[in-house]
Amino acid sequence: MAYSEKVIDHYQNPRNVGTLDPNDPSVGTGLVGAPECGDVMRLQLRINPDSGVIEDAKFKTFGCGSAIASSSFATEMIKGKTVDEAYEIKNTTIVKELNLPPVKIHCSVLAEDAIKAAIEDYKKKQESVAHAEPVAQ
Amino acid sequence: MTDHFCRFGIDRTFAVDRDRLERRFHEMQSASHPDRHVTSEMGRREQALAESSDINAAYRTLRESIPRAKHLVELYGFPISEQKSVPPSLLMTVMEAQEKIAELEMARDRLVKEKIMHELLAIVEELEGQRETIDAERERLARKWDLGMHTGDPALLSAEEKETLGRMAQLLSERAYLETLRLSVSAARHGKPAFIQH
Repeated sequence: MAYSEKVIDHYQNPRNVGTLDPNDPSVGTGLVGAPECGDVMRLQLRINPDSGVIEDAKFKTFGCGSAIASSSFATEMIKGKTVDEAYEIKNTTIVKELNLPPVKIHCSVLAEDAIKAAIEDYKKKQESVAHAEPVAQ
Repeated sequence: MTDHFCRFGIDRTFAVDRDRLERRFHEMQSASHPDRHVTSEMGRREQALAESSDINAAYRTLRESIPRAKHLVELYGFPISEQKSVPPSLLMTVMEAQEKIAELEMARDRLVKEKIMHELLAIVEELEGQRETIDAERERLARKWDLGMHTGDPALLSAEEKETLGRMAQLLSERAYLETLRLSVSAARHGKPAFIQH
């Protein structure tokens, strides 16, 4: 199967590969998998709690070239966006940008799921931080 | 979706008689083999060619137990690709193992490599245990299904039948993660970077 140039570029020079501290309350971690092929993807976001802007994004993906390219592209795309904007991102944007063939569409779905899972993890953490803070007397 | 069981004229069961399947394959293949149609008109020849490749694809699916099981649950509306409820602990362990493999590729020092390999193999052993548990449940469900009489119509499945097939689809997806990891581990043990193609 022939990959598009953009997929090959992201596969060979993946952007934002790495890890953020999962215990940091301003970091959201999304860990998702593709049930059909067994690929796994972890996407982490560092979010400014005051502005809600995504200041950093890192990923690690173990899977095919399209899965790596989809997550690499996703991290590039969401940096600088607000949490709400990032939550609205659809896999079809990734499909279009990377020109993914039909058999690889599930890789872009994986990236979308990972973004959503990371944001949900961040929100859950923020809630528990808010609960843990002593109420002002 | 093409029903390969129907094409081969066999019941939709998880276990199949492989000898019978093979005999049936050869019968069907010899009837539609393109070589038998060299003198036929162009349209008939093309049709025979398409038929022959369909039969090959159906045989490949039915011959091995995992593709066959996937096909069976999908025919009843339980596609593996929709199995999103993977246990998070399984994903985490698979991720951990994959990170060890990546570390192994980066490590230059022999002792460091040995240490990482040791840790990796400990995770692999744990996952092999999980695979055995998955396969044991899979076999139990398969026997249960194969003993019963079932509708061919997904809309008419009983609650119990749905539960069996849904659980089977989930087990097959959990197994897919372990299978992909197994390929990566085996590549790492041979000192090759994992290059995954599905």
